[in-house]
Amino acid sequence: MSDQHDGLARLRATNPIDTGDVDGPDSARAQLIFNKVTTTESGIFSRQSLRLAIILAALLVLTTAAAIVLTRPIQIATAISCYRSVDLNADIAVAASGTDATAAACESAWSDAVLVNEDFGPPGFVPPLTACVKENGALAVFPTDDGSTCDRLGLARPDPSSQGHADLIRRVEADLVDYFSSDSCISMDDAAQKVRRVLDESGLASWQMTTQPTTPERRCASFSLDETTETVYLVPID
Amino acid sequence: MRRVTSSRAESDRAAFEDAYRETYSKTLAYVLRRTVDLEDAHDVVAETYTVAWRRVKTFLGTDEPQAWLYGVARKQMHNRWRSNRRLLLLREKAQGTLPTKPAPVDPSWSAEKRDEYELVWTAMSRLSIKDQEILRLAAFEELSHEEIGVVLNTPVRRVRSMLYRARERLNVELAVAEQQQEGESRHKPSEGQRNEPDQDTHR
Repeated sequence: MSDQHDGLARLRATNPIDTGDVDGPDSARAQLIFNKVTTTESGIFSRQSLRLAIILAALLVLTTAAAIVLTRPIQIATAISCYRSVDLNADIAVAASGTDATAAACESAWSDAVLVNEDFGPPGFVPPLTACVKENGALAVFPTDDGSTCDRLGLARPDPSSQGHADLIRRVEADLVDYFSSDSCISMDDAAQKVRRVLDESGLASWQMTTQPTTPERRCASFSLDETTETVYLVPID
Repeated sequence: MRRVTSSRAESDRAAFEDAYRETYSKTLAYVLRRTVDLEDAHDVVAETYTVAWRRVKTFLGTDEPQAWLYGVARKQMHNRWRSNRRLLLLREKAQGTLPTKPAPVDPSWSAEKRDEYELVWTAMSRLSIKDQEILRLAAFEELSHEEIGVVLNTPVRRVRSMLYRARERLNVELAVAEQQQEGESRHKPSEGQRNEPDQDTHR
């Protein structure tokens, strides 16, 4: 291809700036630039790189903070609230013991028609359920499969790392409910022995147990479990 | 220990000065070909060498220091373009197009060369920014494929195909621009020709 028809050659001929026409390194401007440049420190991050590093670090902190805000450990596994609709002011039912600390804990409340919402289906219909964690660490379960529900309601999603411990507490609670639900009157001493054994066998040996003295009117024992203080209270009932 | 560090710093400075002297004019010309304003061009050059000084080991260690500097200057100009984008968009609205044609034209150029310049840059302005840049690097900076690869941070094989296609597209656009120019000149009558029909009408 001749130069006359080759676009690159024609472009070359229109070079608007010839290198020979511009200032050389001995020009005053070139010297000024050189002195200015070499008075800065060499081998360091540029201000822009530093700014970028700071921004990245800040983003990392914010992302971590966001993760903390978006997920929260289940700290109260024994009080799972099952909501009738996706509204914190809606009617609630407390999940029965004997299930893990998940949204499935509320399935029986719907299947037994303790909760009914005809927007979803007839009585006994179990809608898709989503579990969130309230500020106090308790689970709140809503009838929805919308993954953004927790965020929208200002709640957190369950921190998966807390699930195992929460399930364990639910199992201990279920064991104790079974034991104390018997028809016979359980003495305070028997109750204390049983509770201690269950805690030790469940790996909760560090938990405390406090007992209140019985009275002639209240000579049988019942229990209350406080996960926040890791304490089982044995209280006298009639 | 301090003396060793100081001596190393001095040798870096000396080597940097040599490289600066060797590359300064080409770097300034590269920037001037892509910048409308002379002050802007000097600022970009200063920023480019500031990066080179801060990364002096990399700069002095590279096989293609000039191409490496072009690559840095290109990023500096891009950063400036991004921060001035709003301004440029306003200018685009006002002028109908972004300034793709380099502004400086040698006043001593003949009318024929000026026409050729207009034609070539009309064709260039119809190409993508990527095509324009690779053609400029090959035509004005006269870089090899390897050097263009350093500037654009692109493998040489890809540079070859990019340049080939850009060149083809430029040839097509030049042919189109020439046809349009010919068409315009056919439809543009001279002063004498313009009077003739009037004379015919009066006959």
